[in-house]
Amino acid sequence: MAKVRVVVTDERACGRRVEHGVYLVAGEGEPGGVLDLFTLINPPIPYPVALHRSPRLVQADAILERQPMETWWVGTSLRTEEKKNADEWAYEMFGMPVEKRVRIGDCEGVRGASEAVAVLAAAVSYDTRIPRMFRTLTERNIQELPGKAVVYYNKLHTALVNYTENQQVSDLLTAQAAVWRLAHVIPPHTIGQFVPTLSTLLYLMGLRQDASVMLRTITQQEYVL
Amino acid sequence: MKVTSLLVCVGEKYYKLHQVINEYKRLGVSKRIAATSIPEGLQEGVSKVFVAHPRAIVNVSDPKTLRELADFLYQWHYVGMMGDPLEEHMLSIAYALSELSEKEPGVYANAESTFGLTYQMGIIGYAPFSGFQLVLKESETDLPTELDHMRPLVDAGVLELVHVVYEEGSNG
Repeated sequence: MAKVRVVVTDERACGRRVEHGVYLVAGEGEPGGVLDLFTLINPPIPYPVALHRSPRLVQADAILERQPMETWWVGTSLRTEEKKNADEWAYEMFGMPVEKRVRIGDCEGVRGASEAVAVLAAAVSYDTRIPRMFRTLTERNIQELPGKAVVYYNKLHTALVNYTENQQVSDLLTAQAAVWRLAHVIPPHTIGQFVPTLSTLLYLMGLRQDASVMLRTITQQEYVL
Repeated sequence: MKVTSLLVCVGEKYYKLHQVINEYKRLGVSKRIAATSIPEGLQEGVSKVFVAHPRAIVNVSDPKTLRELADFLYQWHYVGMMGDPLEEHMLSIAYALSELSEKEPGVYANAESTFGLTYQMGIIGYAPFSGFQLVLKESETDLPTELDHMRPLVDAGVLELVHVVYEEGSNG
């Protein structure tokens, strides 16, 4: 028979522990003891991903030294990260391959994917005119176009709704990537109809260089707000 | 040899940023995970458990500045550290906003629109790894039959069986 220990604690904000639940416990000790129960990191280390439920295996030193996120993972988490197709990740995050992302627009000249994410995260913002622009796309039926337009239209919609509820930068990053994908998957004969609106969306998200590049390279027009 | 550590996210559903910080500093980290998520290679007291929160990093929309936001918060006596560079006190600013959103929701809503606030997930701290615990019912003195598949983890000392007793009058 295994030993059962009695844990005496206060109730937490998330309520009491669930019977037969498994809990990860850290910093368990007496308040006021020798060791800090929880050591703060100020300023926080950016972790620009969507919320995940499972714990990730990491190297503490890589995080504390603020090394690029790619170097944090170990064990199964490293294998999971490696398994992810690099292009798939880049399309999800940037709407384009990393090699292209670091050469153009707001990320031109950055040294890699991590830096590009940091640049975009610092640049993106929300403008109250964004819903109107999105409505314009909807009224012109971009979602009815053949191919993958509807996929990225839905992604854009979800990201914008999530953003208005939670004000998370990660949702704006998802939104800008979806805008780039939309510009690339719509049929060529509809470019003139949609790309100016898509580039305005980028502009309103604070990505002014990107907006200009999109308009210049896809429609061969100069950007004028 | 490097020791494996863990990184977990805490959602906003139950915890605002200031609540996480207050609670974890007082009680340490306790986070429910799937039984299938128990990893190997962690060392008690040596491995760290890092915690990320979606509102750890605050961005202010142009033309407003972080300094203006900090000055605004200072009026409400919510920010303790106001040195330069201000970015080094980001957690204090995020904490102040989180507390403001709870204590003065109207003032917070005003700040949110005035400063065009956006948030980014960030790692806010860490605690030394203690272990994995399985909570038994009060009447149970051993792993129940329906959880027999976890017996190897218990026998290997990876999963500890516990009864949880709450301090009288505790309300989180």
